[in-house]
Amino acid sequence: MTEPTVEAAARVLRRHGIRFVVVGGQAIAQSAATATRDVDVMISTDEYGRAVAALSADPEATVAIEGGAVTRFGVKAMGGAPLDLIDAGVFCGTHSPSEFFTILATEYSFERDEIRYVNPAAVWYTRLLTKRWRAYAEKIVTNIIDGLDPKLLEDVERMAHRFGTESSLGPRLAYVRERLQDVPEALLGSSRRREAD
Amino acid sequence: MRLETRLFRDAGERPFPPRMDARVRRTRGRPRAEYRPAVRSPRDVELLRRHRVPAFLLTSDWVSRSGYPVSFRPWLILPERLVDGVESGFRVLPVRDEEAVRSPGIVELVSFLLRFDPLAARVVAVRNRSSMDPAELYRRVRNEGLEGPATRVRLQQFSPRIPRVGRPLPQDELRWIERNNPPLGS
Repeated sequence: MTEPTVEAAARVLRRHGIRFVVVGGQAIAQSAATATRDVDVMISTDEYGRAVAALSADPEATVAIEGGAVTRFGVKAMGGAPLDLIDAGVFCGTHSPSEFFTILATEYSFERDEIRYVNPAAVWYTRLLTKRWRAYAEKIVTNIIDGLDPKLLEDVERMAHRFGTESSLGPRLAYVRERLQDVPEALLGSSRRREAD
Repeated sequence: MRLETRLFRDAGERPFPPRMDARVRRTRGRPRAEYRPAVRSPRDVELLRRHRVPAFLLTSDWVSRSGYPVSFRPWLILPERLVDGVESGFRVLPVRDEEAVRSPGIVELVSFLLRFDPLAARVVAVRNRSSMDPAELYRRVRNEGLEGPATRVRLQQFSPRIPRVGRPLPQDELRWIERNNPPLGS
């Protein structure tokens, strides 16, 4: 189900002809529980500057936080939920930013209600590449307890290999797996059952 | 070896309704019947509680009202040794101490959350600081063996006696989680 805040974000972005994919909690929310209210969208690096400028000039939007690869906007129609524009270049590894964005939007995403969301493995991939990766590791374990397949961690590994980010992601994936070892069997029921199938 | 608890209805006590399809067997000549109730709705959980069975349905609504807006499928919280005595359509969160299930308050909520969403536990503790009785929190964490997740989200800030097990998450990441998940209505 698409949240009204995501629909509102999509409307404002489309009004300016900005190509985007929904990432973060709203993308995870398509398959698991989530706490997030904000809407994170990823933009190709070559369009990022123009997207930030276009939203900054939009009377319906105000810049809340400006900061390099992420710019946070307040959008009236989103009722207080922030809209974060994220530069895809941060996650592209050895690929060019635009190539990475195209691959993400075509191979690691799905469309629902005419909005493109990245899949859970791609969300985990991006989250584990941020400086707050430990907090995100906790969220990944919570997603798995909530029923997401732990085998998706293998997809993250494959993404890291493909984009040449293994050296950063390898130890972080190991950390997530270590955390999973601490989770009682009873809580991983549905995930473990899926693993056994 | 493990302890198990079974449910029996005493003579004169009202039975569960047929929809909970509960009776297992009745031994001839014995006034008590063994029950294994099937729980499929919040109303069924309420009925269990009215029969003095320690069970509690944890919903995301309570967590959201306590300061961490979230949505998740409900958990049926049961004492570990009762898990096999109840058939549940809900996913089950077993706890060691059945007292935590009888009349859970905010400290118990934090201890439930530590099992499956430690970041939520942290934010709820921060937003309900005045209700975080340090002795009570210590007791719950120790009784449930949750020192590891409690340390990761630095619950020693609320109850310094909780033993440190493992490494805490960086303070700035925890602050960021708090900032990024404002309470409802903010």
